[in-house]
Amino acid sequence: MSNSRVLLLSAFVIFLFGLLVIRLFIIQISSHEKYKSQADKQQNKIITLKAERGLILDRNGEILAYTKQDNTLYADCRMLNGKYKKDRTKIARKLAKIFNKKPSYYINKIKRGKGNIILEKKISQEKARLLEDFTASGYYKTQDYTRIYPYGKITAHVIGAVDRQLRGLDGIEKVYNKYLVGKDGFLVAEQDARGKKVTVLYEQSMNPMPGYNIVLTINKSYQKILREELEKGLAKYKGKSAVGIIVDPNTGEILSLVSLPDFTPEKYGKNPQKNRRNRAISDTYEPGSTIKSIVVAMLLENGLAKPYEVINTENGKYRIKGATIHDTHKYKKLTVSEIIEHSSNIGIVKLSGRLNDRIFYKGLRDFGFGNYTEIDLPGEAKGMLKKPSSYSAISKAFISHGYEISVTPIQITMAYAALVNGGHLLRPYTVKKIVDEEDRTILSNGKKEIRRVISDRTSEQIRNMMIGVVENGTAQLAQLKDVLVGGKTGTSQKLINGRYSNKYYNSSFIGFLPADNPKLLCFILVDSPEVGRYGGQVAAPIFKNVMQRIIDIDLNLDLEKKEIRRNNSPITKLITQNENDNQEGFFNPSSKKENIVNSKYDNLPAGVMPELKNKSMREAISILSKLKIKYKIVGNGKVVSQSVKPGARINEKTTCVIKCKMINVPEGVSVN
Amino acid sequence: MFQKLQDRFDFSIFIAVMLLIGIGLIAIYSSTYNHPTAKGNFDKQVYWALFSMISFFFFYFLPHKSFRYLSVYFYAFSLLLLVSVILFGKVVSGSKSWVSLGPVGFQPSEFAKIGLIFFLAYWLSYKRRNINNLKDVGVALLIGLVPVALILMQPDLGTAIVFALITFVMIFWAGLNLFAFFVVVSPAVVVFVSLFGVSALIITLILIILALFFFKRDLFTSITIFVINLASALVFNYLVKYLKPHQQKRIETFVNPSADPLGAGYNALQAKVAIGSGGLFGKGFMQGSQTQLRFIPEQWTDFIFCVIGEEFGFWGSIVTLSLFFIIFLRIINILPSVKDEYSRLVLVGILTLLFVHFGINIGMNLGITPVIGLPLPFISYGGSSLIVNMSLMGVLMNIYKNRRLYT
Repeated sequence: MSNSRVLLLSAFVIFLFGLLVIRLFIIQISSHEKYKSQADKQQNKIITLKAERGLILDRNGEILAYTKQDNTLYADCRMLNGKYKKDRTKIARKLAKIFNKKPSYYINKIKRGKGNIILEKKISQEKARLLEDFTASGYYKTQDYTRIYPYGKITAHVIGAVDRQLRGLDGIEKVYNKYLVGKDGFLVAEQDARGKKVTVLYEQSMNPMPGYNIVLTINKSYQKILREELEKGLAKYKGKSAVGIIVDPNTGEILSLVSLPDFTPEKYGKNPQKNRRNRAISDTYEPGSTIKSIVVAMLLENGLAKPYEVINTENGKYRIKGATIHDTHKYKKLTVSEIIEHSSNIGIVKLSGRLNDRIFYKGLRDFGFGNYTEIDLPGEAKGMLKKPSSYSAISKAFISHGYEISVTPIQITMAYAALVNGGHLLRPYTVKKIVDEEDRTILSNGKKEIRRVISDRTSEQIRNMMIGVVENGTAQLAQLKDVLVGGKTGTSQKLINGRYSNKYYNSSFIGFLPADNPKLLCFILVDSPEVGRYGGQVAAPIFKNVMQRIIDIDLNLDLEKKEIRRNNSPITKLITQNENDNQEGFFNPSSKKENIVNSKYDNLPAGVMPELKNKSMREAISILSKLKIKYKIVGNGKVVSQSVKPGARINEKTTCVIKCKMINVPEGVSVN
Repeated sequence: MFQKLQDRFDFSIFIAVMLLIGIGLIAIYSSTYNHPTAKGNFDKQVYWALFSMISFFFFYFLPHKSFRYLSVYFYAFSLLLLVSVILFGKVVSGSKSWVSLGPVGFQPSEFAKIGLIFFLAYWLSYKRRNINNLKDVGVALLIGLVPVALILMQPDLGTAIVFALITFVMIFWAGLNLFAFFVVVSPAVVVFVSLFGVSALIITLILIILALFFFKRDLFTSITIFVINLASALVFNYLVKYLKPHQQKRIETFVNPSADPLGAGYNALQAKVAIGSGGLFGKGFMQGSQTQLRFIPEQWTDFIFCVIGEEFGFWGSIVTLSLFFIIFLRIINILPSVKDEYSRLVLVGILTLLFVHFGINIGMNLGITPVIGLPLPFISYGGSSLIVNMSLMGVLMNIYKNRRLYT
């Protein structure tokens, strides 16, 4: 018996026991966290539950974008060929029944396939339901989501597009992505060693929260009409690109916005950049004559001009500080109103001289030029507005007829909205409200005034001048049958390689209706038309077609239609108009024959015949009514002669015969 | 009264064993609950536990001289069984280690443990044999190595290692001097180390040369011993190639456990994850996610300790280990008081058997020994092992009862 052996045995037992305890301690206490996370990782399978992306609706609840859930069926050929024929037959038979194909179709497909193959792609919901409980080894299905735009290209530039993961890439989809995405949920499932789902741990799981729905200010019908007409116009006039915007000038709501060429939203990435660019907000151009109304508004607002004031328009050619300004049609004299009507460059250049640089700059700035409109669409440009410090001697002259300034379509549109709505510069917006699943409002947009730029009175005066543009001036092709329209054309030579081109023009027109209480303001721009050149020839007819169709279909618009007789009896037209005109302080209710614009001539010297020549017929009527003399009008258009000579004394019994003549003048442009 | 009873029946060992069986049943219940194929294992194990109690008391009440007389027959019968299992056994997970006895399977290698311990004890204690001659050592080794060879033919590496270690320890206990023990054990060490690559082998061989200098034997003996060591390493590595692929994998995995986390290393890794994720207090009974989600195949057998580690944590593991520790120390404690050499050798055999199973099983659960399929005594599911272990505990208790007697 040897004690040393007992000792050796005990030592060995104790040593090994100690070793195991230390090892146990290391595993269970020191490395506990490591093994725990490893256990969780392999035991818990986190299944993402995709949140449904919100809908995008137009202002009337029409769905413009939604998400479709698709099922795609796959087969793992490695698990189905060779000795696993049984499952292959099972799958083939099942699918053949549902998809009306022969089982051999699927069998051959699997036989030929390598790895994972798609058996059926994006199957319909009903078919997916039929396959809900079907299982076979080597067969599995995935769900994927596709964003669907029922109106495709029509709404492309407003709505934008999403990428494969349904993240917003452009348009509303991009700007409002965070509202649309919702919050993905997840299912924590315990899985066993074979990866089979065992139980769902609901307390650790989270349901997905669907994205919010977005209600746009866009009217889908307008959008469709605007796009169709722009496309037609683009084809007809052979333009390169076109932009159309319709806004509610009283709220800043964008009712429609089209930029051509456009893109198929589902294939966003495959479209060239020129198609993806939203020209309505990203592109700037020199506005040309459309800026004139704004310059005149500034003059009127500052008391530096009066609508009837006569300006010497130098018979079409005028030199200013070394530059020569031309008018397309030559006039010796024009009133301020007529300068707008006929878009006289010389007239506006002369008038702009009355504004000092600072006021001129500030005025344009106040109308929103050189600044973002902050429209809720991506990629807005702010254009270029020269500061007085960098003005050359002729800068103001050129800016006043729309050169040396670049603007975006949305800027000029909003400036015009301010011109016609009583002087309120508004922020344009495309999203009316954001609502959750239960239609509770999450966010709502409304009219947001940036600043007041002109008075109601000035706005009124400008509106009337622009009615003249359509009725007598450069935009007669924008006339509608039974709604009085106002507007202004713009034609600018494009700057190509540093030189103003004689071939490429930007032809634009901005119009509003009804002219006395504008509800719609529509901007049309055609880039480089090959047929036609002037805004009045190219853009105005497009405007007319768009507006006519909108008036015809939109019963909500609730326009009072009135017969407007033109050519044959212009007076009737005006009288008809007056009878329906209820604007406060705008006419004298006791005298139905008073002209809508009479208030402008309140301070005419009494008892003396004024100069009527070259005035528009409407102005002439306005002045004659104010003078309370009898008159007779022959013809239509501009006053060419008057029976009572200017300066002659008149009384209530005086009868004056005015001869008018139609002069169809597209505006001219002039550069040095 | 109790003292008198304690003198004839060692309660500390008995209670420890009972507790271990209880822990085993709990762990088996948890790991087989709702299991598609192993659902009935808990019930079966309860029956085996009851049956093993009968065999425990059967051996406890046998006249203590009878073991000695039965030794030769036990051994002979064991060899017969081991041969027949090779001829007629059924294959379970790559090894032919089972024979059918009517409806129940039976592992002859389990029974053979009794045969080996009894017969080796008998032979080593025969007429105060002096073990320190080459012939006697040779015979003793032969007694041990014949069943080892038969078991390797099944093949069951784990059990073969147990048999080899039992043989070595019993020979050592029988009084083999240090040099002779060195001669016997060093080839086994060399073989084991050779698993870890050439550099480990070279270091070990250098240590053996140093040891040979220490023993100061003549040059011829030293060189012979060295050559035997070298040859055994080479022969073993040659033989490894004839092992079944799953066993080769297991050896490989032991050497580099992270090499194949989804293959053979999977069990070892998952065992560690289960135990490690249990933490200090465990996840609670039936709450072990690793166990309940069946990340470890057949957890109720060799990897039963993970269930304890995961569901009862560090404290549960320590309690389990401590119960074994109590048993081992108690047996060592009893040893010097046993007057009879044969009985002492049997005790050493039993101790070695339990300890090797315990060490390798816990070791492989904790990732420090290779996964060689040895059950944890009293705890792992399995009738043969439980009955044999409880029978040996009965023998042990019988020896304790009769410790003052010479045979």
